[in-house]
Amino acid sequence: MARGYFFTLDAFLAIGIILVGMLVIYSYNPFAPSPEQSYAYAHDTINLFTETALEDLNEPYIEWLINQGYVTNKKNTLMEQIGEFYFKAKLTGNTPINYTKQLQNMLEYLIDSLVEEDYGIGFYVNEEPVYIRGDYTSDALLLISSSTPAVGIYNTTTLWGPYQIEVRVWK
Amino acid sequence: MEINLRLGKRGVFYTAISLLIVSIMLLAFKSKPTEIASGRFDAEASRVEVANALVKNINEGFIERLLKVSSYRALNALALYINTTKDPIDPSELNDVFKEVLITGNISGKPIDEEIGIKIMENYTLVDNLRRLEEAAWEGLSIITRFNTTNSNVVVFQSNASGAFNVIVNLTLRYTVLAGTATWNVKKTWSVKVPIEGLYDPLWFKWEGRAIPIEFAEYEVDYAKNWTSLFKFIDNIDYMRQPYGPSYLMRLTGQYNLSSRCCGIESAVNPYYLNFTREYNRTYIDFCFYTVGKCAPYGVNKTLYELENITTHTPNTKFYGFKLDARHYVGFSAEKGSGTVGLKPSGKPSVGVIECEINTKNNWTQCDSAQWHTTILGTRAVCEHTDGYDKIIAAGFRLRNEDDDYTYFDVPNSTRLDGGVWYYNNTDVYINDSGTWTLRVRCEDRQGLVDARTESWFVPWGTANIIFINQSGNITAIINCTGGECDEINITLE
Repeated sequence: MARGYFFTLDAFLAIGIILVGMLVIYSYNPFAPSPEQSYAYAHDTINLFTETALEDLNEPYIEWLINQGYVTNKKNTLMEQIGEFYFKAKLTGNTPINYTKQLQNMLEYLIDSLVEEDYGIGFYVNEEPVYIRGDYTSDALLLISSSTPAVGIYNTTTLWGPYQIEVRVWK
Repeated sequence: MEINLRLGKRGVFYTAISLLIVSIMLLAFKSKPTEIASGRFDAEASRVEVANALVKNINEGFIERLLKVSSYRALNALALYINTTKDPIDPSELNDVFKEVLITGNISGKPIDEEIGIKIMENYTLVDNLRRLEEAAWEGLSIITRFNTTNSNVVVFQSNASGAFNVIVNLTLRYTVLAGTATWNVKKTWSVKVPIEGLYDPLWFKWEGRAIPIEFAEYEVDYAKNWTSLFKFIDNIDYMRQPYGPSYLMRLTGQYNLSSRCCGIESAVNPYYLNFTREYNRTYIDFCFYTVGKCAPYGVNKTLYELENITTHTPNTKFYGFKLDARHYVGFSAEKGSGTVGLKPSGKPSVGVIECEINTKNNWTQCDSAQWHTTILGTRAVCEHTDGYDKIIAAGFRLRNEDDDYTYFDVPNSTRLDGGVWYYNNTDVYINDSGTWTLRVRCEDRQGLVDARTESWFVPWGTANIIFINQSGNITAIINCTGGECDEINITLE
């Protein structure tokens, strides 16, 4: 009888050790952020920027850009406008108008209302960062990106692009 | 205490129970196969979604932008090609020619940029742009895209849909998108409106060799209300709609005499910009000026009008000899019924074409063909008048060699009038004098108004060949003059 008790106790002890070990293994990353949210931000941002024309936005800052002449075609989508600002910045060297600054201001204004503050977000054109909110470090827990090609017309005779415009979201 | 570890039935039983419990717990923590599979399917679905978005972008924006830029450049390249060849595009071949330039950048198999000497289509043909799109799709999204331009179809036209300010280009194209397990095969027709603003007018290339870009007047042109608006319209060589005039594509195909109700355009002839040295008896509107029979002084309403504050009679001023027909005066005056404010009929004669009959009967040609040892059998000239040819009562002809200061004939009135052309059947003049020749024609109307014009041409001097012959100390010089008259030659032996 004593042996039976011994062996049973031994077995339960073994089970307990295994259970503890498994708990340790599976609870290694108990607070991993949900990838779905980051993917939604990245993907939805790309979709919004691709499908929404500037003239359809009821945003005072966009209207200001149009009135000041920084935006020459209000039928441009947001994605086309990013590409156009990028192209003009390269073409003119940001003189006399600083198109890079206009692009960053536009994105900052729009993104603040679209993406939560605790998510970092960055826009890249042909791998070159044009706007980044939040510091991206190797400690970031999650990074999701979504990209699309964009092409547009400048002055009727010149084509800009195709540029690869990418949105990265991280936390 | 020594434990007896003999295998007993209870020990085995309890150990087996423990192993069973552990096994059950292991199975409970193992991932379900379906979860692994759904992870893989999510990635594939995402790839298809990205490819779908690319197809949507291609269908709803990318191709249209590429097509617009390439089409605009192709139209400009064709206009510049006309400047090089002075030969408009055959109307029946317009679609084929445009398609070739648009897609490949070639015309009749040769690079159009080389033909015109300007890089317009380089890197901007439709093929170039589509290849860039294919590369971007592969490098950015790892999606294979292939556009098939070989069996594409292109149509270019103007209509009520395009209006005067645009040209419509329709492109039918097939393309394929490959994204992993999903494939798209698409055949679609895109239609874009290409603005003609900024393109060079082929009409000006053809007739004057001038690069004049089409810029539409954004102000009201109303001579009766404000003459400076018309002055500006002429000075800037701006454009406006004109249903009686040819459209842009008609100008590209040399159909200047046609009218396009939907899409006709016009500009004024600026004599100051074109450095006119004389006044012309024509309507100073582009398609009227260069088309016989379209506008006054031809047709039913032959009257031409000069405009106060616009027309001058001094060369090199704005605007020397400018005239309009009644249709255009009305068109430039928004207030109908403003009458003839500032207008006065331009009724005076002007000398038109002058020709000589050289060597053989009825061989009428330009008088500068009367060269050494040819014979002028007769002369003729057109005397024009804004109020009709019948207002001319006399045409005088005078032929001179200016270097010799010799007049061959000088008659105040010619011998024959035939259909507005005045003929003088002079005594045959054999050209055996070199130097400057002039033929002056003088047209006079019933009111005594006169216009005269002189054609001059040069007959080159001859070449003298001198041969010396020595015969027993006697030297003889033989002078042979060929190709023209030789001047006096003095030979001195030393």
